[in-house]
Amino acid sequence: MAITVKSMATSGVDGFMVEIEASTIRGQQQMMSIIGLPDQAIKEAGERIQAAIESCGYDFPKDKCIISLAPGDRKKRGSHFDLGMIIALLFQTDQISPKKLSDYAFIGELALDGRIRPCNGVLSMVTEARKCGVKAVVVPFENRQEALSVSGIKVCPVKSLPDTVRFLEGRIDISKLYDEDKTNITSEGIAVNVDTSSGKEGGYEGDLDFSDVKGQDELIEAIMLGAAGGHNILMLGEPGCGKTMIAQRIPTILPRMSEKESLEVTKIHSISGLLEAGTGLLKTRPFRAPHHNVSLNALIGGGSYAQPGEVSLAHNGVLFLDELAEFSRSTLDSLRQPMEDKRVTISRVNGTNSYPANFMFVAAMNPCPCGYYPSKKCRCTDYEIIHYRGKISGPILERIDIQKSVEHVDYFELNDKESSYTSSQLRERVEKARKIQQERFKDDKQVNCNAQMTTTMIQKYCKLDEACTQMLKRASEKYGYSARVIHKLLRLARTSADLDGAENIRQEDIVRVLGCRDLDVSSSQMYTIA
Amino acid sequence: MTDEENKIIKYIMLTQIKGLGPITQNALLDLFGSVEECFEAGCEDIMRADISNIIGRKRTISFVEQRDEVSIRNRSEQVLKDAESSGIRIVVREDADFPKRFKNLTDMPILLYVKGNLKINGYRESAGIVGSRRCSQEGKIRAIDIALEAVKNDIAIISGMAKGIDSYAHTAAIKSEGYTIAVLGNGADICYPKEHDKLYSAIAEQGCIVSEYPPGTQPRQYYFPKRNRIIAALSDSLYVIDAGRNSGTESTVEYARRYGKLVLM
Repeated sequence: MAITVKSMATSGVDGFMVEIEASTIRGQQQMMSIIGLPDQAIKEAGERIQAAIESCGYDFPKDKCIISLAPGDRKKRGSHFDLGMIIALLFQTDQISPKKLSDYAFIGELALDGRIRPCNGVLSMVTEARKCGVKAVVVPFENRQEALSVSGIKVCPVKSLPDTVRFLEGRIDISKLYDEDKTNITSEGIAVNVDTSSGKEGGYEGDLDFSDVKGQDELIEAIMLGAAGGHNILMLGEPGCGKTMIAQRIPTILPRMSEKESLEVTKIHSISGLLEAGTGLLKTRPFRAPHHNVSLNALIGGGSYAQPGEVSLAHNGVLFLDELAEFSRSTLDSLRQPMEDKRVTISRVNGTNSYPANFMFVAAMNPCPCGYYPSKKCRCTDYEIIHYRGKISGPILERIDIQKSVEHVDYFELNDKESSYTSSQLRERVEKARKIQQERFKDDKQVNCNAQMTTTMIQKYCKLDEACTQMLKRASEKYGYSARVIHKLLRLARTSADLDGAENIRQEDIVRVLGCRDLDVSSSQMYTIA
Repeated sequence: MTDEENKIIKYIMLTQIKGLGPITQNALLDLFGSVEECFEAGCEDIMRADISNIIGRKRTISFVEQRDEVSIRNRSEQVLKDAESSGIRIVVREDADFPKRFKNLTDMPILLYVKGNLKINGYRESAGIVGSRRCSQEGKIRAIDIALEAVKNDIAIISGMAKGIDSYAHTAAIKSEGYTIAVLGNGADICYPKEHDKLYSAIAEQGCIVSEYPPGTQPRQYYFPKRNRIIAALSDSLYVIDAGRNSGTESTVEYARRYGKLVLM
């Protein structure tokens, strides 16, 4: 009779259960076949298993072994089935006698000497295991923090095959094994706090803070406005004025991640293999800054297994595109849908996956080809500047609410300047504004921040008094704003009012918001035939 | 093929013959009186005519040898066809709207490829505005001011549609609904630099694009100094803005001085 061992697999960000069946057939030539639509890594498991069996002192069966991964019609990939397969095989050949095997699901890759190596996607798989009613999961020791972040399921971290066997046979207490190792780790200083409720440190990396940024107060105000209302931002500035530096600090002022958000982010990073060993739930919002030669598939997601791309890795965080004008047009245009839907669906031969992609879009570019406009150094013609700016397609610019130019900074004056903001202050204000927005949009599932307001909502929530209307009208006449731009400005004004806790949009909000269209203003000053 | 087309093709052929530049082309036309005569005159007549002191024996032989070549005829017909298909008119020396300002200048082209409306002869005065492609903000403002002032006085603006000063001069003329001519160093059907595509169409619409090179000619650096002589010839006065030493603008200035034009720095 065949032995069945539980394991898990991933498909997109979600997991599904796989049952590993092992059977031996007497009287046939010695061989091992793995079936159930395995990928190359799984097929090679046979060799790893054989070597591990030998090196741990067991005997490799002399008969034909068949290992089947059920369901047989779903493609599976990854090397983490090794552990389940070897347990099934050893049990089938009566070399081990585990107790209550059906309570466990196994995840882990084998080394040739029987050690267990870490693998990707553990969080997704453990989450799914709990859903399927599995009582305990055996995971590689390095992945334990990730697995432990799922509550309601027992996690048994193991370091080697012999440990696993001894544990399954009840000869060793897993918590003891774990205890001893825990002290080990703390001393190494890589222990991670997995208790999400404590939320100490505010969950951002201590070495990045807006207090490092000097002489860019106006821009920081605009960034805070963007962070508070979920508005996308474009920074325009000459080389070396701090665009990248500022962008890197944006995650530090975004509201702290909720546990749900944290889980989503960790899952995506886990299946992409970007989670460092020993890390539990990610507490910092991701900051992704792909280089401008990024391919469309790397940005959106793709590959033969429809892996998540940068937009999904930036989920709940910041996607920063430096040198926006250098990105290829098709790559940039592909961002349009995810920015709208907050999700990407990727279809490939080997499967269709849908990944979340709810990111704050932050971009930076030079104001002109040489980079120094409007300083005297710049000798670009207006036509060149317009041409350069035209590289970014309208629909993308359409989705960017805040366009702010970054002032030139003089190093020698910098020392005298004090930074006026710290990340924690800014974050406090952002969180307050977000709370007001959550209250406002609590009945609507589609909308959760001001940037996503529909036209009817704008009419409802962005009422202007006479003075504000006049002010907006004057600006609109001066720069020829379309109705769409006006809507953008109103959304921004709403956020600006929320930042100060004001109920209605005030004149100062309009002033602040009009200062956030630097690109429009600068482009309207160009002396060209349009 | 109509007589008119035949005539134009002969003009084109004259420009296509190797070894003949504009000076020789003009000299031949002057000598024989008409383009037909250039091609019909007997070999002996040409050789006998004592033209060696004007054109030179070597060039004369080269002309006589090539004028009946089929390949040159075919190429010329192709040029005419290309011009027609890209909306380019060929204005030849004897036409009424061929610039009168070319008269008495020996090195002017004998035909012009024109996109738009060539009505420079209708303008009593014309001003060339040329300068640096990498101009300063002050230069930009000066160019625009000069152009606007000129348009107000019904003066045609001549420039080269290059980056910088040239582009501002044209833009100012177009914006104030003046008349402007862009002289290109490439085929009149090609917009170079490419960011001027809208300016190019606006000039073709409201003013005109002029080139001595057949349609499809790609820009080459040695064409631009040559086209500068046309800018100089078309302008009654030449404004030079922001020009550096050894810049392309220097050649325009040199030509303008040679043609006796007023040069304003």
